[in-house]
Amino acid sequence: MSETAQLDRQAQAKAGAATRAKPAVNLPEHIVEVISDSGEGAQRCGQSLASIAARSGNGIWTVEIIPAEIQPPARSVAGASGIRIRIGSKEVTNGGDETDLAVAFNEQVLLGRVRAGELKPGATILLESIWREHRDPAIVKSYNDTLAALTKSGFRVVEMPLEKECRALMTDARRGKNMFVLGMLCSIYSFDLQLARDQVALTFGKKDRSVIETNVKLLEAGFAWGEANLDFKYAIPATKSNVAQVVTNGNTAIALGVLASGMDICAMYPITPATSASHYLSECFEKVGGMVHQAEDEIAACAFAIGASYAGRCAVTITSGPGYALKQEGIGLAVMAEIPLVVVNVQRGGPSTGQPTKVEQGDLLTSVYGSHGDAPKVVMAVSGIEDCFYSMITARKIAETFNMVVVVLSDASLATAQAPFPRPTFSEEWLAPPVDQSPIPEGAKPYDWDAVTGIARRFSPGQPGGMHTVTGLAHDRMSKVAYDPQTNEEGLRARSLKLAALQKTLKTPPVFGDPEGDLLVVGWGSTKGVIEESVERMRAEGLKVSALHLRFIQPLPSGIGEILRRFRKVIAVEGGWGDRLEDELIDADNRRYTALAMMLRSRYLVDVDCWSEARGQPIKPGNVVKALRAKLDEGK
Amino acid sequence: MDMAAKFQDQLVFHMTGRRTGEGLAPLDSASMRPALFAGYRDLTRLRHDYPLVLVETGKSDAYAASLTLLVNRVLDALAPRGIEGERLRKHVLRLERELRAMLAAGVSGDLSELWAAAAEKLASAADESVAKVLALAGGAIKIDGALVDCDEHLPSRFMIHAWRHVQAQKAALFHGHLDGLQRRLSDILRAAYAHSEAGQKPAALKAAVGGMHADDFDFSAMSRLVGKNVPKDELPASRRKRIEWALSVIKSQRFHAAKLGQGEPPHEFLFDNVAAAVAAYRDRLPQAVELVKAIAVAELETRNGYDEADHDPFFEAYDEQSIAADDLALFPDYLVCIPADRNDAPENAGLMDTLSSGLPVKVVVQVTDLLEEASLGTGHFAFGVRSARLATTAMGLGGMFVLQAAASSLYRMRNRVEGGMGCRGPALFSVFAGAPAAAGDLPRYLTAAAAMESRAFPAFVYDAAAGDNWATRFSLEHNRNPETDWPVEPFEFADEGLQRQRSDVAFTYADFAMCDRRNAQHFAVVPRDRWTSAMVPAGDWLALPEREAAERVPYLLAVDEKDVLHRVIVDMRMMQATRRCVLLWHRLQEHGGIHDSHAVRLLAREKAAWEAQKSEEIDAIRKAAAASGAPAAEAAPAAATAGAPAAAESAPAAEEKPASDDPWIETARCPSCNECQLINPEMFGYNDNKQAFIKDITKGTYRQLVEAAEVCQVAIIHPGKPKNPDEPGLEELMKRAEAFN
Amino acid sequence: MATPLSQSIIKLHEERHDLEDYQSGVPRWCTGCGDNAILAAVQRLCRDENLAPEKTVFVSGIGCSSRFPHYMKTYGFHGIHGRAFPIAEGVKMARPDLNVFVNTGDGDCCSIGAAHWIHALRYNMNMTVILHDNHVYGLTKKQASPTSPVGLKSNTTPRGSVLEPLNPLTVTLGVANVSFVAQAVDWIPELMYEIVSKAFHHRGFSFIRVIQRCPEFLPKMFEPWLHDPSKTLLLTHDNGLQPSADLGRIYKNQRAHDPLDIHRAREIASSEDPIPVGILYQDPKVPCYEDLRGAGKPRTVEAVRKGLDAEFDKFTIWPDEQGQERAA
Repeated sequence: MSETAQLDRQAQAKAGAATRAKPAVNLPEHIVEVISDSGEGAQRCGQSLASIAARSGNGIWTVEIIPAEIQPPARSVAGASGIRIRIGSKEVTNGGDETDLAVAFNEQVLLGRVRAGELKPGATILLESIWREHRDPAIVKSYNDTLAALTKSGFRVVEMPLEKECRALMTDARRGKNMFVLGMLCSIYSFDLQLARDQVALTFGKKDRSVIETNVKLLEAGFAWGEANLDFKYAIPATKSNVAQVVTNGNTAIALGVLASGMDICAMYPITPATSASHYLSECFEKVGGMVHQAEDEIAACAFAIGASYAGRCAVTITSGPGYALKQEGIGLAVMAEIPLVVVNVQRGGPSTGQPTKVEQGDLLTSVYGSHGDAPKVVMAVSGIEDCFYSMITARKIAETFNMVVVVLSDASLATAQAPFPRPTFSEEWLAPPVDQSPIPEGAKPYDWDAVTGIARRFSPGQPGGMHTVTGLAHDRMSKVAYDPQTNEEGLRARSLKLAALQKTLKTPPVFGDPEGDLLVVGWGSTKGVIEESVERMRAEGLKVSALHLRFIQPLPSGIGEILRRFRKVIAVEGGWGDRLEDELIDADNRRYTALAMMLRSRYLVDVDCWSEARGQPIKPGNVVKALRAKLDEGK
Repeated sequence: MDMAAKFQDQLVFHMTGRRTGEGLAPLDSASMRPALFAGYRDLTRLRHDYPLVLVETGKSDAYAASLTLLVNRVLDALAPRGIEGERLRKHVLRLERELRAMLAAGVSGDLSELWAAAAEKLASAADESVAKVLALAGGAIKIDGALVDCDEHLPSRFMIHAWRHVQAQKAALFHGHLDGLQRRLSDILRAAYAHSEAGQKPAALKAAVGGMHADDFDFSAMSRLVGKNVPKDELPASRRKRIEWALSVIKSQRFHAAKLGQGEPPHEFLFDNVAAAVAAYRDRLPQAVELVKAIAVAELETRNGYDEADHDPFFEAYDEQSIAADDLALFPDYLVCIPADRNDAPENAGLMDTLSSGLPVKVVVQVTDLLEEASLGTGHFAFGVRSARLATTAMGLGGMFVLQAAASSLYRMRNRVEGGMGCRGPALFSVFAGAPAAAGDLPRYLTAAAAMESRAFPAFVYDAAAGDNWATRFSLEHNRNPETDWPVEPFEFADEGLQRQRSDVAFTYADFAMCDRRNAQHFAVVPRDRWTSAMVPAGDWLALPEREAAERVPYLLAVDEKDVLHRVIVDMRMMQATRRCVLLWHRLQEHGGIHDSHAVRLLAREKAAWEAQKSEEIDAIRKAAAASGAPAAEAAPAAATAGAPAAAESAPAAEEKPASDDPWIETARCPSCNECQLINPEMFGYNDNKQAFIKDITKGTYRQLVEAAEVCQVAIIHPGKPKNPDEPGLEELMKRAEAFN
Repeated sequence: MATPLSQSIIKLHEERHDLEDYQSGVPRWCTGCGDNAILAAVQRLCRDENLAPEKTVFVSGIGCSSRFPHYMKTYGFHGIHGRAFPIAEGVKMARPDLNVFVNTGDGDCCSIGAAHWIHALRYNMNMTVILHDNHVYGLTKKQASPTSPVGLKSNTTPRGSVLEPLNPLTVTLGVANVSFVAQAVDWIPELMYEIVSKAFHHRGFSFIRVIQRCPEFLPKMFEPWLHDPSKTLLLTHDNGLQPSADLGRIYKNQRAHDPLDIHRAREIASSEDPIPVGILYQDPKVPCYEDLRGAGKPRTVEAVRKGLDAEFDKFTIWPDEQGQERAA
């Protein structure tokens, strides 16, 4: 684009009033992202926008764009830091497809997103224009070239003099850009300016009054600039909920769930992307008498939680893949000694250190089958933000009721995604009961496995008459070490039966869509929203597609086999690796299916196909639709 | 007039109390006051302990704070060096003076209000910055509460405030403890519920899982399965009943105010007469017994320690007779604050009864008049025969806390007051509020202080619980110069030649009495020209031998309104009272270990005995020296130091090994390794500490003994000689045993 | 606050325990194993302190020594190799009212569990820790352990071990927050008991290294010390051990050592011969992690409800009417 083009725009700006006379275009939803160098506050801007949208009654879903480094170099393609917000008229359950409108603080961070295919063809780009006048000619050239290339590729690029406008209001203009952009976006999406002012006050609530005032000024300036200079304006109709909603990300919801479950000890070791749950828990837990123990390593964190649980206070340890691998021996001990324990695994890309900040659903099998020997444990997966909260309460209750390890799988996308859910009403029954200190009746045994359910009553230290030594060794009902064949099988049987007992209490999960048809999509964990949205889109076309989402994966609830059989085809959609048949060497004989597909195939002897992505990004509904369509067409 | 004539008038007055001739003027006590009072004309200018802030409960550890100290602290914190600081200092001190004046004028209120009022008054006259400075200083005083001066109401207000302060602390502890017990008792019930059949009902299970998961489970199935091996009676019915009973008693207790104001209003513990307090105590005793039992049951239950066979009969029998002082310590103490006009004889009789009963009653008696006529009628001059002697009488009752103080020293004795209010059992506080209006117009602070200084109403503390001897129980430390008859103050004045003079002046009972206009007839003012060398300061006069005293006239130093110094002679009756006062004071001193006559006598006896012994020793040494010819001086120390070490040396080292040829084990060195046990558990045994010894030598063979000795890792088994000569292979065994014997 | 009636009744009916109340089963250690001596001392301690068996927990890892909890009639946790410390920490944090003991071996503590050991010292939680140090892996049949002397022939070092042994005392004395370090030997039971008792009464992480014999794999290792009392150095002090007169006659090699003196303690700790026995270091003022973290604080339903509501308030979007009400 040339100098003149910019002048044109300035001329347009002067005639702003005329251009904005146009009414706002109504949209059912829009995906907007704000990206900058790390530290320029794009995330804060986006989160504030999301909050304003949520307060306006819109459905929202945010996806954080996180560089892998804490301080990546400025203006680098890999350094994009920001947030994507999907704003909808109705409830939004996932990040959706590509971005409709992007605000970029420099052209380099933008390039990263464009190259990754994250921008919709023809999307609108608002780009900071200060680089045009940079004293480094290389930067000027890079800016101009990129601008030209983007325009050529069909993007609608609007330059905005961010820094210039901000400089009028604050000395370090770089730090004020984000609030200016927030104001501009509020103008674009027709949000109420007063609501935005309130949000800024809330965001900077802890700071000095003058800080709030400056930022409100920036916000107003951005809003005015938008009104005066942009020739487009949108409105996404909203219906305000009549119940209180909370807006948090998944990790915060997990922390709140821990608090609400009545657990009082969380043992952890820092690991991305799980740590933020512990951060938040450290902040709020101790106010009500709980504690977060940062252990010396993952193994110790697990053992510490086991010790606390053994002593009568069910504890949680929160980790991610590599940490989970380290905890396996401890988990095996908890299984053997039948000590309740909640383990949260916020999955990330693997194997090994893999992609710490990126999403993947790669830990299902290690959760179900991990630890050596036969170590039955409960595995459940959270499907959304709200589920993060309630799963902690349920997991604690199951762990203590069945004296089992309950693994709760979340992932990096839920960890940072924000969406509103109805504010939970606290129930006293959620809390773990006080430690039982009543005397143990004479003759009672510490592992008096019930013949049918395998469940035994647990004795806690402090209970007179219940003295015994728990052990990871094979043991009899008195908890005495016993290697004889009969006792060994007795213990294995009891521990396994507990899963069956739990399974008998699980209801068949509901099918999304018709109970029978051509294609059933099975998923677990964070992909629920994406899968259901994809199925909905296809059903709107009259296709006979339904979805089944699994919260409990170990044990699998009853009735699933029947559901699978009522569909002509079944496919598992997951965020992890599964071999692809288009690869030359892969055939039905050697194909490594995705985790869930493998489990369903082996359990129900149904030909479950699989489709997966392991791109480190949340799966987009558009991609799922494409895959499902292909599956439907297969064999036609 | 000659010396003799001058003296004659004085002597007559002294002997008879009649003023004859012109040489003696009547004492106008309205204008005349003891010379030591010269500096105390305007108390509002004097930065003394008063007024006080009775600090709002819970705001500070201290329950009373002196305004002077609070202001000093603020100045230390706020006032910078230099002119700015001086300015602030000046304004704040002016405000302090204003506060004193306001109180003296009868204004009352909290410090913060009065400060604001005074600040407003001072600021209106000056510029704006003054108001700012004063407000700043006021804000820097972090505490608040009623500002009180040393007036007739002070003793009751101060004591009630101290009592409330102590009760509030007690209540906090009580609630802390009982809240914990309640929580732990409720926890027992909650834990039992969670593990009971009821806790495994479908509805209970459903309520316990996360709300959005309610549809994931078939709770009936879950209830059926997980409820299978739930014990039928998780909590035995009798235990549940006991716990519920204890909880309800603890929850409904009315002794300490409940925090959220639930339930019935709490009991009142403040009374104005002893009879009512005792009646209330009796009335509530059954409730107290219930609560004590409930707490004990709760303690036992929370540690799984309730044994029905042991404890049921115990609690059955526990009644009002069983309650002990330690248990009563849980409850608030009763405070009886007897109004000044009601501390009459019948009330005092009931009081003694109550105090000796050991009930947790704290009694405050306010003494207003030390110099009133005795009930025996006129003509019998005695002081303080009634209430003023209550404290010394009560001390005789034994096991309690007694504190006597003048109002002026209550602040200085605040820690002792707090201690008394907090003690277990009864306490008596006898407080002199200062002379009544009839006595004259001196401020009460002054007459109260004078009563204490003059030994008319000495301050003392007797705390029966403080130790098992008088030295730890009794204290006179709050009096000035407790070791002397009278406190002595340096006194400076200008003589006729305007030269500065300085002398030490004692403050006696007669000085105190002189302040009371009702006693004016016992004093006569002697003009300066009639002063003679036969006049002796009253304090010194008392110390004179009788004959010498008869030739002297005691006098006091006094000043008039213009601070002109006078001598005031004292009549015989007043001097008798003064002498009696000092005798009573001596008695207290002896309690306090000062000039203790027993000790003095004992000391003399010991000293005599010691001297006698020493002289005998010296004689002996001399004799010995004379006999041996050695110098006496060297022999003595040698004789003294010999012996002890030698005795220790000669004690034979303890012999462990038995003398005979019996086998034995060095049990103390046994590391419990089980080796010998495995060889023969009949012969070798373990003691209480699981260390080996030879249990029964007849249950095994010599071979086993030797083998055990050989395998013993620490080689502590000594086989000795064989007992059975017929055992085969003895010869070889004995050879092997040699290494271990 | 004293509640005298309850106190007196509790005292009146308090259950007294004898040694048998703490004994569970016949130890399956080899005869002559030093573990037996430790067990005897600990059981004596329990009896003498009248520890409520139900309020006492022994936590161990894996190895010969870690069988220990099975032989106590208290609560016990026979865990996994190397992890006794974090398990015990979890127990103590959850339940500071329990008496927590840890039994660990030289492999368990100084090798696989070394990280936990270092950090356990740093946490300084109130527990009594006994390192059963027999200088060799026993349960897995004779391999060199971190404390094995150079030259030790074992199944993994058939030509003799080549590494200098790790000295558990100098290691512990080098860790921040160390609060109690003592050394005992299994063949002086009197001192073993005294040391265990001192350790128990110390509030904090009381670390006792017990040098013990393994009659199966290293039968001769400590013979010189067994037969020559002068090769044992008794550390005595008013704040440490005061050996009985009888013992003093046997072990004449004594030195007064103030347990507060960490520099001296480090010096003494590095001595291998003579073997120092006694309290090397004790600082009663080091704060305990569980105290710093407020463990055992009562936690009420109301507190959780309030806390949760306060947190939710931070994230809540109120419907209009309610929002206004709240603002008002």
